[in-house]
Amino acid sequence: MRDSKRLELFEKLNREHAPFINAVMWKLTADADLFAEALQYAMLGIWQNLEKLTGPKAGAYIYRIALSANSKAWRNRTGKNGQIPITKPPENDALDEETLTIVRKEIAKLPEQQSQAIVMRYIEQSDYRLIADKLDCTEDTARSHVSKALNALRNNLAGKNLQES
Amino acid sequence: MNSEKLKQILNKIGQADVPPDIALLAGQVSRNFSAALKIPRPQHWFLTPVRLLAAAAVIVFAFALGRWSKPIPPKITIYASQSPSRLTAQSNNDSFWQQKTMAAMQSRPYAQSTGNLLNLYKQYLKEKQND
Repeated sequence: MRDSKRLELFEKLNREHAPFINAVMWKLTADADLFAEALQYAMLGIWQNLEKLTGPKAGAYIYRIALSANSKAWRNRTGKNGQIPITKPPENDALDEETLTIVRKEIAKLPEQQSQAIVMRYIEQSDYRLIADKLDCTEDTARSHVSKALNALRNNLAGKNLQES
Repeated sequence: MNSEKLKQILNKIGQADVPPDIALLAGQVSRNFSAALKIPRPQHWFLTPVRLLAAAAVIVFAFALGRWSKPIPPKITIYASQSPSRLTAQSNNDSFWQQKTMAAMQSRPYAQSTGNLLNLYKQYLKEKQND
């Protein structure tokens, strides 16, 4: 595909999926710098996989790219200084915001399919049929991914001193 | 942390409002990324087929020139033919010193030429003999 055609297709995909990508990215990062970094990774992923994004499964691919970009951004951030960015919350909600940030970070560490499944199920509030469709698997497998993701999250969070509000 | 609590936290993350300025930030990131894609990439001009062919032609032509060129023949002076007035012991002027003088007046190709080493050596022997 010629570069001009690729650029045209990229901008079209970007326009179509930008609201969805922005919303998911923001919910998973809640930090402007992290959001911008994840968005850049997502755009790079879209540009590199443009050929795959022309078919009917484009939405599922974009979902995968967005979550993979989110994981990369979190990995970079925690890799630099080990600190997690925490958005300044209202005073009475401070510790709860820290909990949310830790959970976001743990979601980014999950295996790709589990991460996608749990984000679709609990953050996007999608039903299992839609999750199965996007993950290209059966509904039972989608349930299994969500269940495994919840268990993994629970185990990973067990060792951390979280605010039980 | 129990399952229900975790689900509540996940739901809370899902219900987080997206601030309106995020769309602006996203637009800015998107514009920067698109602008970076539009920067023309440098091409490896030296790898284009036409230039490769031209370079090959130049190399072949240079070798061919070397193959077809002929060496410049060396300037050989034949000692015997250039000494018609050479005097010998049997001539009328048979004075020893006169012969020496005449020999000293002859040209000396050995001292002047820069040709083949063997020929030079032969010439040197001749001149030595004449001296």
